[in-house]
Amino acid sequence: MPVQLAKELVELIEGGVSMQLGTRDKDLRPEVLRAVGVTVGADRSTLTVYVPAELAERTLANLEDNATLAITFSHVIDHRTVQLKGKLRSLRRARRNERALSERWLAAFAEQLHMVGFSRRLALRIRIWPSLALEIELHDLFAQTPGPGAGRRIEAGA
Amino acid sequence: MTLFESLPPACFQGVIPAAISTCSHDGTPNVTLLSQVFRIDTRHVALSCQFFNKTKQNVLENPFATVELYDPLDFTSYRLEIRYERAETCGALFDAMALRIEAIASHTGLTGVFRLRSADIYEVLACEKREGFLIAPADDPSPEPPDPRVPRSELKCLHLVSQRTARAPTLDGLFTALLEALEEGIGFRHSMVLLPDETGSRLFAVASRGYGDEGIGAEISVGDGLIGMVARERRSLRLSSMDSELRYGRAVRASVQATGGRRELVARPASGIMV
Repeated sequence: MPVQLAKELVELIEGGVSMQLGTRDKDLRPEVLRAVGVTVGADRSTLTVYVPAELAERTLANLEDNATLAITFSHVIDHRTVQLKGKLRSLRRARRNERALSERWLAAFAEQLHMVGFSRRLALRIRIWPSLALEIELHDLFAQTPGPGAGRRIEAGA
Repeated sequence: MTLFESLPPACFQGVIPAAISTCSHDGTPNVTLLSQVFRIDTRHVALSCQFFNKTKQNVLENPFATVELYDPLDFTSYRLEIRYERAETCGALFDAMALRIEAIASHTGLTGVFRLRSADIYEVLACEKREGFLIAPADDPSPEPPDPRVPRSELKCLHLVSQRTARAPTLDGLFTALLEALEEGIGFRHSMVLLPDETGSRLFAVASRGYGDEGIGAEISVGDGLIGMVARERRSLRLSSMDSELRYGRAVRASVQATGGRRELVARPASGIMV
């Protein structure tokens, strides 16, 4: 059953945060991959996540096997973090006009890193293209900010 | 030497958070960030367990995990496949990891709330560099900052400290010479010397460098904050990224307050640490 993101979570997710995608294979061996762009659907129950094609071999094999995934969004400066769990709906090569989404994510991410003392140039070397677009249906939301509340289910919000 | 053994030490200093992916027995993946991964020997890492979270629950059900680590100096990414082995709740490794966490907890007003439950040991099954994670550096005429990995000569610094302090005519002069030599020899721009009072319960700064006029006379209770914890435990503590560690502590503090935990959390004012 799809769940809907609250508006403030959409702002967090699309705000240039650090994004890590988790999948697993048929033997339950997990995989992790950094995502390089995201956009939340108008229904706030789906999102499109971009991953670098060159690094996605294991992730793709896992998703072809079982379509199950988790993705964590973490604000670099204050560690506000949420984890979404869901299912892959579709997978395709990112279109040329979607590259700007990843460029905007990278610029915002580099800015966050810069604010905690890193050179912008460091982050701007992350490969964002060519990328794959994963359309994901959200099934569960969890608070993941470090602390005793990490892991608490977040009720879907309007 | 394996790739894991040759990974730069900076990857294990918690400057850029690592990510860990695990999977429950019912096949649901979980991915979260780690404040620090500790390399403890040629084929093991340790992760700190402060709360019984989903990652811990998953590895007790299914011991396999994958970690993505970063070198903070150039953002090179490494992928580790690991397998949970055991949790340690005492011993040298536990004590070293606990001191770091308790010092941050004390500094952010979370003593007793934010503490190490166990040092979780994982075997490293595979390690690889994420080829293609970064694009080649663009042609850039501006010089790169000096690589802080270039070791300064510790022996040379020791010689400098010893030479300067030996010449000091007074106790004040000795402290000043010591702190100057530490800056000159190994780049410690902020340092202070604290001595205990006659009761041994409080420490007073008798010399300070890099803190302006406010350094001298600063006092702190033994066991309080970063400095007090180090003094109480009589152990050295290295925090590679103070800012990152304190932001992590403040995030936990906000989480404690948001979940209705202790309301009277008192954060310590920021202060320097000499380790």
